[in-house]
Amino acid sequence: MNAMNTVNLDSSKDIPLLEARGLAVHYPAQGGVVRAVDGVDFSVFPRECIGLVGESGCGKTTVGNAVIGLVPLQGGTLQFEGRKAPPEDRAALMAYRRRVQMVFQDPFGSLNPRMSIGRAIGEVLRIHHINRQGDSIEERVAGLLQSVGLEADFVNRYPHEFSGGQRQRIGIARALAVDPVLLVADEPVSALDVSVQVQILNLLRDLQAQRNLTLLFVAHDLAVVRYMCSRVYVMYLGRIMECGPVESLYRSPSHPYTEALLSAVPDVGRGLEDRRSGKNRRILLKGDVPSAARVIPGCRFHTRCHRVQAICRHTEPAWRLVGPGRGCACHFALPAG
Amino acid sequence: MQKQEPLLDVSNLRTWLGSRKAPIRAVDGVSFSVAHRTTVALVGESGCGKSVTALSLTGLIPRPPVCEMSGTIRFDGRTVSGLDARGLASIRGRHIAYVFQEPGSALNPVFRVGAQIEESVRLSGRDVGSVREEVVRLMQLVGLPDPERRRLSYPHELSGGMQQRVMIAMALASEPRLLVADEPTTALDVTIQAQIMELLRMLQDQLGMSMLLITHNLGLVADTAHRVYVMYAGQIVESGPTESVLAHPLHPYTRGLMDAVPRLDTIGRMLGIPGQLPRADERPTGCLFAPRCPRADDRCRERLPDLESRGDDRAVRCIHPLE
Repeated sequence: MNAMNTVNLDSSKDIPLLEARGLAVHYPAQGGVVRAVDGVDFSVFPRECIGLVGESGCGKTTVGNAVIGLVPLQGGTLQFEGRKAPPEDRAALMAYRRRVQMVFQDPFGSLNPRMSIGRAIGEVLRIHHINRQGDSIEERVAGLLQSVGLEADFVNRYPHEFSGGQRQRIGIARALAVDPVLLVADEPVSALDVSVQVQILNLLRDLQAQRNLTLLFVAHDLAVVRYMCSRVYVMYLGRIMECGPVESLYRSPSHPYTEALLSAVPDVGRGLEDRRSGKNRRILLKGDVPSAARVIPGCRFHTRCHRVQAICRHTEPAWRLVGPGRGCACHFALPAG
Repeated sequence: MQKQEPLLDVSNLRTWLGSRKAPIRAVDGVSFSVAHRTTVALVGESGCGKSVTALSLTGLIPRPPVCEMSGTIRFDGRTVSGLDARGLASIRGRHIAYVFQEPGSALNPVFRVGAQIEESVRLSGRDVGSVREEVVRLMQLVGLPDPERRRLSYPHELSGGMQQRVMIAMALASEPRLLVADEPTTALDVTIQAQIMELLRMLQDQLGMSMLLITHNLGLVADTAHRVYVMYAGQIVESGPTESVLAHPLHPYTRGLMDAVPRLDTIGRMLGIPGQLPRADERPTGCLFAPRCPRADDRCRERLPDLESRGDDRAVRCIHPLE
């Protein structure tokens, strides 16, 4: 069946909200360039939560920054709602920022310490001239605070008066002020204590459902990604290694990197199982992630791969489909069960 | 077989910080022990007092901020006299060594790593013959490749994982009986974390050390520890063999903490723990966890429950434990 001819009542489901093709972001560095993002393709469909997962230096944060226009692209294209993104024209860029917002990792660092919470959120409404249905800005701010589980009378308080979890709620309220359709969340819970993490994750899940939000969720924690996302892209050294629906990808990873990454996560359930059976199913990768300033011939992962063969050292593997919704860039991709 | 005395036995440790008038009870009557050749985990969220407990073992926190410190520490069968500076210094750095969370800030940026390991070897007072050969041996022991070249590197030239290996080499220089690892992998990526934890397990086994692992990560506890103590607001709320505690937690906080950590197989909505840790200056009367506990009743709010031992080598501080 030709997908292009399929008649679908909910046709918006088939058109990506956000699409990246050959995305490249390079940073100048001492004696060369760091290829932070080096040819990345992905699609985000309306109302899904996409996970972008990988270790530090893999380029996941840079992808998020590129989407909201914080870093210029060296190559490739980004399309949002069928148009080039982020737009260059200033008015169009303002409109784009009303559609796409970001939640940052460090909620304290991203709030102005000298601005009351009410002003910080109200500022967003003023800049974007949002004053719908005759509501005053104060009323809108109070409503936003309540929608993220904070009390409306917090408006006169300052960032230092709040706990980490509360600050992240403020960051989320500010992002939601413009009623965006796409929220880029970069490690939104990694600076928080475990018991607070769940509260913020649950809040994001609820808001996503209530407001029909689409989420690009950037994180290093595979268990958190499993909890939040429907599909996931695994990044390594500026490239996508594998993608697929979380359930099938976590159950049977195709790429050796995903396989090793999943096996390295300390997990209570698996830890107890391994104790009972006396087995250790962990795959230990050799060495460190090489520098992104170095050009690695062949597969970028070959220097650490536990399944490496001769071909991997000189020929870059092509992207191929390995199962329903599953893609993988490996010469020896494991079958996706 | 006669029951051997544990390597480390801490009883009723109390470390209060700040002013005497309104002290912060960072560690408030903590007792635990570490048997020979075993790994014991102190687990809890930030602010629960696990790191202050670890540092108190060797008096690494100065006065001030410490305003009150009491309790008994027995190490290898003898009481470390009265927790005074001299008594603690006799075991610090010699029999008890530390590995901390941030290797980047624990290493001196202006000295080559070989020189820093060398300093640890010299300070240990061990008779090692050639100090340089000993440095190379330690570097090999912790899996630093090409030690002859690597020892000339500066810390910034090494990755986080390599830096942590240098820290471990420095800790091992004195051939400690107890290695205290305070969040040793929290700053590292997950594949590097797995390497370092594997190294620590291997070294513990090979050198016959004991290890006190301070962590917030229950997954690491499940992978590594023989015994676990769960801390909340400066107190131990539950303890026992790792398998039984994690498979059947008795304290509602332990249960809540487990429910709050997403797992690779989490399906459905996680519950988490409502509310926040009590502030240091607003300690509730009664059970410290009661304001957040789904099982709390009036009795819990009246009196602080004792940490009660049970027959199965477990203990719990709760009037209404889970069964």
